[in-house]
Amino acid sequence: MSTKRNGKRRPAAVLIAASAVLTLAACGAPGAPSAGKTDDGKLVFSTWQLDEAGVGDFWHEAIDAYNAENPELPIEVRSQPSTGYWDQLLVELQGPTPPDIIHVSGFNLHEIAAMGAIEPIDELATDEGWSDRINETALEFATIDESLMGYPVSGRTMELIYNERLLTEAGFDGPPTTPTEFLEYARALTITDGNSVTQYGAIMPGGDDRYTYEAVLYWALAHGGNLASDGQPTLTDPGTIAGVEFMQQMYQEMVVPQGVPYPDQRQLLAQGLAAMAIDGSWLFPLIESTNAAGLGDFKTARVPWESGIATGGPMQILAVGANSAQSEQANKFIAMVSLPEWQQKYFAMSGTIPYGEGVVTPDAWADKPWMEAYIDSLPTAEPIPPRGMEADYSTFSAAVQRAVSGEVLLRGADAAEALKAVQDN
Amino acid sequence: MVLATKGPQARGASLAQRGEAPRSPGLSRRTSRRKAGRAFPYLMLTPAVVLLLLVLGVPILRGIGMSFEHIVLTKPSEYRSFVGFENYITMVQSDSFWHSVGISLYYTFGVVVGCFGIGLALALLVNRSFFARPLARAAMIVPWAVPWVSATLVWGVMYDQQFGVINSFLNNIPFFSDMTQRINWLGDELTVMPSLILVNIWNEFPIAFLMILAGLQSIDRTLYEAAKVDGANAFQTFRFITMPSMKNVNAVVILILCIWAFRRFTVIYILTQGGPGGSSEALIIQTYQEAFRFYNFSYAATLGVASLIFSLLFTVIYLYATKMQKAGT
Repeated sequence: MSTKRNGKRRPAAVLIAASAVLTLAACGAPGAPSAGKTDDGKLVFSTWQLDEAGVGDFWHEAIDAYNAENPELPIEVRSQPSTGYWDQLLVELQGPTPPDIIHVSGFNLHEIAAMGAIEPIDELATDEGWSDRINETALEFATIDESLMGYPVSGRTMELIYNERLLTEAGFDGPPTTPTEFLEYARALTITDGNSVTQYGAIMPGGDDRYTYEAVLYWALAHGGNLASDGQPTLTDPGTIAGVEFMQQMYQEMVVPQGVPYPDQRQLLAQGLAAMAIDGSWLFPLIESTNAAGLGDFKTARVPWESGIATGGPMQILAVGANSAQSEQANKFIAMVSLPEWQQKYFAMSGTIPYGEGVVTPDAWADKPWMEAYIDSLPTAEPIPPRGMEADYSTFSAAVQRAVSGEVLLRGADAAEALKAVQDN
Repeated sequence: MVLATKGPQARGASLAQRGEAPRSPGLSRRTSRRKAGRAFPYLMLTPAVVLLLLVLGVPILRGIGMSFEHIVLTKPSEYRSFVGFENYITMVQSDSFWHSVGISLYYTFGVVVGCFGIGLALALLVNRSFFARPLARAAMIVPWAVPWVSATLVWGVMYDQQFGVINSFLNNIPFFSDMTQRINWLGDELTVMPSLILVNIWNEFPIAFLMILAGLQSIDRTLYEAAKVDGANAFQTFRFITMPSMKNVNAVVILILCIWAFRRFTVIYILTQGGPGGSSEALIIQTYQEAFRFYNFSYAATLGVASLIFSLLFTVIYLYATKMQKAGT
């Protein structure tokens, strides 16, 4: 009997031992910062834009041009779609072969710098005339602890997009210029049929997604508030509270869709089922593909508040991986794409605004009249990461978004109390 | 020959001392062949076991290991290799964790009741002989054949408050057309969970249907004939013959549905991502958010361990129920 039991135990013991060995083998120390990259003889460029229409062609052309001039160490691209790019990049940065040239969004530049995953490109910045050719505000944004941590390729803002035909039909002869007017317009442009809304006055992010945070920021700016200042949240400032109350009023009056994901709301705007939005220039290709016949109805104007300060700033940034064995070549590539002729190509192919001074001339956007508002406001745009708390963007933005979408908009909670709860935590 | 002694001495004594004839070479070969024969099944199992350990065991154990570390991908300098039960203490003290557990249990209960109820009803219906029975059986399986993502996206369009087909249909009914606002199925705290549960039921009831139907067909027909002779009506037949005979099948179906529903990610993530305002944030969604929104991998691993414990609990309950049932019979 005992021999039988031993016979059964032995394979079990072997299995346990095997699993323990395998587990130990699998256990490294993920999360530990990468100690630097070994020279693997590759120049790796990590980006999410290689396969995107328009801008992807730009990167292909730039990489081909660089490789033709530098055949001894050509660029090897790690391409990842924008969805999941940041996740993938974070994992790559913890691994043994982080990229040498890192494409990072403006949202995450400070986070990645705080991780110690990128190194300054000060040498490039000291090249004669280089800094003078790039917009000063953009360089300030990319400067952390007095070091330039990346090259701001391009930026964007959120401006007022409106359907001129719908406004005219409702009796308006121009776009709104104040938040009060915006609300009046939205009320007048919302059309109901029984219990059904057949046309919304405006669209507005308000769900459990990343868009809501920026909406809170721009409506706070519209009312003279902000979300942070000098490294401290300013959620209890009267202007910020007024901005969130304004969102709540539009939501409760149903002049904006309730509970509809923001990408779907954009479709409503594109199809002429909503009249106004505060959104980016990238909406125009969507409108063109959804409603080409109606594209001419859509116009842009500066954001409808007195200061005219929109949210946005640098969105595309090229950085060099910390301790990259190929940092010289990485800087060389960045220097190349920052030349005016490449920036002009970038604008022509991507439709987003490069930060080179004087690069974008009126001739360059003559066939895209909606770009004017975006180009005008870019130099004064308010960066999206909270001021002085940029490295905590992910956590802070999620907390604000949750409070506003869940408590204020959905449950109708008092805006001041909901924001105070986030401020206190 | 009777041995004078028993015990270790006897076992330790040589065959000659014990007065036995030495084993023949043939006997020894047979013994080793028997041993090899016993080892053979284990040998055959080895590749599968190793594979399972690699693809299941290692990640599970690694996940458990991570729950005792502090890993935030965006803050590698804060990495600590061992924090004891810190993550577990944070978890049990967190309101959002218990809220998510409640949502998961609600979701699981709704899906299991719906899938099992519909599956049982349809299986009983299709188990009878009628015209076009094979066609009806095939039709029941169609929802299961539709990929989850496609089906869920279509449901999302159907649920749309203003332009969805469900509200357009309901608006023809006086009670609904009198409402001042159309129902916001996925954007209202009251309706979001039932709406999500319905999508899951639609997609998953066929598995319950198939298993229950197989169980029904394995019941001895003579039991029904005997019941008929005894004058039992349809309900009595169902109550005293069908259901007792189906106990094991039902237990398996319910267990599988419980485990699947508790871990279901696709429907909730695609339709609401846990919203509105966290009112559909099941444990699996919270785990995802912690890992890929806040990059707090160790806390996400802790939530993963909690999910594993709940799945194991379902299994233990099932095993206990089966044991009790056997003891009863």
